[in-house]
Amino acid sequence: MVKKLPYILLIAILVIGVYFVLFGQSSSNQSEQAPIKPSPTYVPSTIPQTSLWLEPNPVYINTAGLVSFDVYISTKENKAKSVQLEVSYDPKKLKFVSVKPVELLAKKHVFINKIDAVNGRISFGVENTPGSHQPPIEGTDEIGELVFSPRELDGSSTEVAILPESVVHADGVEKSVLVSTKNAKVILQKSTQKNDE
Amino acid sequence: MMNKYKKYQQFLLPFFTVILFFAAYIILHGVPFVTQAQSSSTATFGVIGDTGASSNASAVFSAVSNANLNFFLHVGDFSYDEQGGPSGWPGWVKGIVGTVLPFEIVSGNHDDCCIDTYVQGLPNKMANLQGTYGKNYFFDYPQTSALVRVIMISPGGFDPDIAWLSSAIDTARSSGIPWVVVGMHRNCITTGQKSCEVGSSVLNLLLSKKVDIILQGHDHNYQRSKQLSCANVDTTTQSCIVNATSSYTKGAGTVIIIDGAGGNGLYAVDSGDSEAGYFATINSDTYGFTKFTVSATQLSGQFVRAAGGNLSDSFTISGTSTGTTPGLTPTGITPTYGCVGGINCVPSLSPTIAVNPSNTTASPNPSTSTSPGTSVNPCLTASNSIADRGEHRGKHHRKNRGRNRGFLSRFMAFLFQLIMQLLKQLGIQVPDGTFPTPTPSTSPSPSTEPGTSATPCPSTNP
Repeated sequence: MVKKLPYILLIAILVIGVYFVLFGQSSSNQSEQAPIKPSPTYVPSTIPQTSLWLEPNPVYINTAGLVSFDVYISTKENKAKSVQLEVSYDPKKLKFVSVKPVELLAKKHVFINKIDAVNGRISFGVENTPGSHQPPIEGTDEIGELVFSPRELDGSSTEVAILPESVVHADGVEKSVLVSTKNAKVILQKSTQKNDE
Repeated sequence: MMNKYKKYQQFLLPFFTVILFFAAYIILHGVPFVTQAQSSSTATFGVIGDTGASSNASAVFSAVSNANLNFFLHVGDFSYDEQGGPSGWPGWVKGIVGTVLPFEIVSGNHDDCCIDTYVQGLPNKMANLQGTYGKNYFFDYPQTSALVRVIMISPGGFDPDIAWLSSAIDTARSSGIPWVVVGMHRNCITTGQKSCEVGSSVLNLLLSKKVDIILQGHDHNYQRSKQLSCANVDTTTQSCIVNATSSYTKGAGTVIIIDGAGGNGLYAVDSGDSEAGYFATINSDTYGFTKFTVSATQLSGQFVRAAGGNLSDSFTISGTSTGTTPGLTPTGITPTYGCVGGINCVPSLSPTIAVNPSNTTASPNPSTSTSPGTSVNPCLTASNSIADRGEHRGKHHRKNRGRNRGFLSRFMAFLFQLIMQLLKQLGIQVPDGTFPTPTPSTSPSPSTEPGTSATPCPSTNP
């Protein structure tokens, strides 16, 4: 028995060693993989989550004598493919000057640009250029610039409204994903602050 | 025979145990010293801008957290008021990338209002930072034997003092730091939606000094320029293009990376743009960050896709040149650019920068002469040194592993001590050391944040 003791010890150590190697390797693989978080895959939300608003609010007459708004969108998890703004204003107090797509809507296809100067209504729509494989309109950012000129600088106020009839279409959603809009107030006097950027 | 064998019998157990111990140690912890040597000869970092908190941004930050970076740069437009805005968004992003990764920020146009709040949520973790963190500052990485000087500036928002900027570049060169990277939010030349908002004087300075990389966001897309020696706005000047491939020579010019594809909606790029000739790659359908790996002789960049399209882009800059002669300032730059009344300016680190009006062209022979004396205040603290961060990172790393093999590691530690005792009893001298005991998985991960101070190092900004 005494003679065999070294051999028994040797075999036992080898068995333990093999166990350590196998277990250690397995454990090592697990631990190497553990901290790596899988890249999430997201499906665009079909729940309407998109908002439209105007900035700044309130707005004063800028140094160029104009009323200039930035139109903003926040799509949250919607991936929009088109935006149609329906804007109303008081034609007795404001005169429409221009509307143009910027940032998220820049270099995309304008499918409607209709100005009703009598009733104070603007219909302006932009979509991903058909067949262009443009990325979706998403995130929180500027989409347009809207400029008016005041008819009078009498210190009164008026409102420019993004109407609920505005439409934002998103991939995978039949109806508009627009859920909220916010109007902006125009103060018909020159501002001491710079708001024409 | 048996007597002869018995003579060695007492050594058998310790011998095989030692062999097994080292085999298991290498499997569990890697070959000792090799990893440390690699980490000191290269550094990796990432950059992104214009993130928000959408699923695209989540995907980008998940990719960042998996990229094994030494530090990360965010070139502005952080939250777009999502996830609680300036006060809430930092916690959201740390929930994805963790609290160990140094996450260095500079203000974007959407952050200028509230950069101080962001700075509180994402404080500086670089020990040797100089300037005003979040606005205009620089740091070297690693702290000793630095491979790269990262200069972060906010032209158009908090305009940097041009002499300070010039000096920061020059002292990097004169100190022998191989790579100079300058990050900012806004653009100058771009094929996207933006215009030259940083001012051509800033761009001209950086190009004339041949900084290796300019990092920008603002335009929500990915654009990599060719290697440029100069640039004129609203046109492409072919003579400014030094190298139009993806393999550049160090010191020959500058590569501009615009990576505003951090998660907020993407802007279109235009291959027909008047400045498109400056660019090698433009893309507007893929979200991702740019990963850089630097060694003493090579800087490589790679776009890491996270969501959207399938953009793949990479480039390398190789060589040992150190750019232009320190002290060089190009023509047309007013030393007090953007610093009206000293507001939002970073004072020059040195009392004066020697500007030689006659020396207005880039020297073809890089000089290693000492630049006008910029006193370097290392601003080190025991709690936020890079060495400490390395230690913390190691602990964090081990902590993760310890979750899976706490028992095994404790057993190995016990074996280690046992073997040491045995070897000592046998009269064999052993090096002093301790087996790395795993951190209990229930303990909180060590914080590397130097308190809650927005600027842990004394600010030079008034």
